[in-house]
Amino acid sequence: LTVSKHSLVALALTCTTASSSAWQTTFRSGVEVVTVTVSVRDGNKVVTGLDAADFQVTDNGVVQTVSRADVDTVPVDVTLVLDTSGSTAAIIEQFRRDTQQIAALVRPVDRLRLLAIDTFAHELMPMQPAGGPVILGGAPSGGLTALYDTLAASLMSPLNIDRRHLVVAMTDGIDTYSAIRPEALRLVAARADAVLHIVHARSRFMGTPMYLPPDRRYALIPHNQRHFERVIWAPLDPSMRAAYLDLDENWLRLVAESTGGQLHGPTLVGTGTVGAFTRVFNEFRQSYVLRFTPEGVDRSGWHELKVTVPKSPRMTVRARSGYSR
Amino acid sequence: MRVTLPALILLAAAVLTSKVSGQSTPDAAQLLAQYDAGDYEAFTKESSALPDLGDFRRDLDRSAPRWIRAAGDARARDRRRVVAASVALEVANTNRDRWHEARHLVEWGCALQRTVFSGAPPHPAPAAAYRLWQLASIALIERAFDHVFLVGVPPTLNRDPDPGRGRTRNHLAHAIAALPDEPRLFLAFATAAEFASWGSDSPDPVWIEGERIEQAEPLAPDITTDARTARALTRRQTDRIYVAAAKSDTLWELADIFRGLKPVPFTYARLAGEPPIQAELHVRLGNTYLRLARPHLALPELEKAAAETADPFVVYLAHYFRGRAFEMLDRKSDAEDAYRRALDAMPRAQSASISLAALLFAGGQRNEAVVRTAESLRSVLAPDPWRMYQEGGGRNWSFLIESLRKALR
Repeated sequence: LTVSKHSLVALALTCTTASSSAWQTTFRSGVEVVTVTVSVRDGNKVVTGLDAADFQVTDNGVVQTVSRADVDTVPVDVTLVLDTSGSTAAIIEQFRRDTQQIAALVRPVDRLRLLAIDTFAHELMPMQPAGGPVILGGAPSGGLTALYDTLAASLMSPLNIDRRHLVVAMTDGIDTYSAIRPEALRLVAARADAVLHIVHARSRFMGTPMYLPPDRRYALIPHNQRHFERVIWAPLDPSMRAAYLDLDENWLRLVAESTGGQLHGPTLVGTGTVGAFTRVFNEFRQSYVLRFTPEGVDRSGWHELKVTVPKSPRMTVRARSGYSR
Repeated sequence: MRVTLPALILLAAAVLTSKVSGQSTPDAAQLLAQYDAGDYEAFTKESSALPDLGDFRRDLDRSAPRWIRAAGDARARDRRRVVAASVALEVANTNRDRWHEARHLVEWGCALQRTVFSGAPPHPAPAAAYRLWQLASIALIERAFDHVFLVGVPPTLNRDPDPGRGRTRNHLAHAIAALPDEPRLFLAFATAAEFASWGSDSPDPVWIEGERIEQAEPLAPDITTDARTARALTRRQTDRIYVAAAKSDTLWELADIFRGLKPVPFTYARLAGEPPIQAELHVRLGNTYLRLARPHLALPELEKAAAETADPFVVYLAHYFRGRAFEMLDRKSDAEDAYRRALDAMPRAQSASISLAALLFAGGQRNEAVVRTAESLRSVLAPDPWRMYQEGGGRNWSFLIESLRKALR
């Protein structure tokens, strides 16, 4: 049996649950290493120069030994998710221009993939080395919004131990036609290796009142076509519409934060979204990839993670909320 | 006579220009003749080049009555009437991207036939073609997501004391008046009520009116986020009684509609291959219960639907919704099985693929989840009944229009 060094590393680093399913590859190893992408800020400044000893990681409350803290040497896989559905019709051309600018920001060592949110979740461009042409001509547009489906699809990607995975989604934040419920997206996000950042690209409100009552100050607006239980009677007023949008924003914030990412915005498309991506990408590049071998905890089940920098408690540390085995 | 070269070039250019211009602006008489002759390919090509559908409708107004009268006998005239209406219908379909102009052609075709086919059957020949025309017209309107055009503001939601004002239309009422024993029309009504409760992305006059109000009205203080708050608000503020139409009440009414629909005997002969009705009713009622967060009520309906038909579209939906119901009941293993059975009916459909993948991923079965997700992203052109659910009967358009063409030959 010949086993390459790379395979051994992969074997050691891959955190995979054994299963009898024919779909699964089973990895068995006495040593399993968990990787966690961590970004550290002091106020608005990204903190660099930390090493493994500066971090404290607890796994289900048990302090772990961080063996390595790599910075910037690990290439990044970027999945860019664009909302091209009908509710973004007014801003879709700007979205397309933004995508070209964003693609140019990604380093040659990194890779880029494009997904689109419409009635379906679409893969416009599979993961490929950055620097190549980004052609969005065939992008769907004008449909309903399978936002949760597309975000889940972006997060359920193969584990690649040599790279970090950053997902940046630009959307107006309103799901109208997903197959999965938001609770399912949260569970996926909690178990994903990717870090999800959502840029809430706000345009003019594009929701559709389904019925205008005689009073004419209210409209019944389905907040989410599938999850109609959250329908609201919304005043037809721009400032109150923010409250309407906040309902989905709260879900999206929870989802992003459980991966170690954030919800950004709302921002206007154009300079706002490109600027938001630039900040996210630069911070992600400077984030640390911590590695540890879990000790003193059960092998299976959900593992809640907490990452801190004990010597500087005021620093803001963002990392995924846990992992499962 | 001597003809100079420049004159020849000018003549050729004039002929070409006239020909090109003739091709780009087909007239109604030309399209009627093409359709009547069964030259559907040329008809579709020409009708997609119509620059102004309003002009075309006026052209039909002038040409069609003359063309119908020119037929030999009453039977031939009846047939030509349906042909003319079918021309209007198919032009509307070809120009669906201009739906707000195109839909007037549907109403034009309906009005043309109402004089002959209104009232109770038996109708003059070709009644079978007329039935198919009505079913196809409804499929087209559903395909265009124009449920307001189909039923107006549905009674389930209509608290408007003056429902007749401007924006209310009711194409379906015309069809039901002419074909009172056609169960598919009642299914279309219930489906339209379902989708009206869902909202629409079309820039309907309702929305345009909303835009105007947005600019004109001052701040309104109240916003409610659930049915309970809505009902409480109603008790406090009787002037806002319409708030009582809050979600759960409305959906229970919708469930009542689905429950109350019983298949009536078919007056008209059904065609081989027509999609089922009863099973679809069970599926739609099941989904309504899911929207009411009543999975235990949904499951028996969905199981009946799956048992009553072999139509993969309906079978898929039945199992896919079962999957959702089991997830709501936290029966993950049953949900997984249901999603897999949905995919047995329609392999690679994205909705069940992603639902299954999310379930597996959350349960730690990462590898299959990743493979399923990757396949589903590559398979967006695979038929997906959930993604087509909002089209209602629109999925039957191709079948119905082919059947109509055959009935007219």
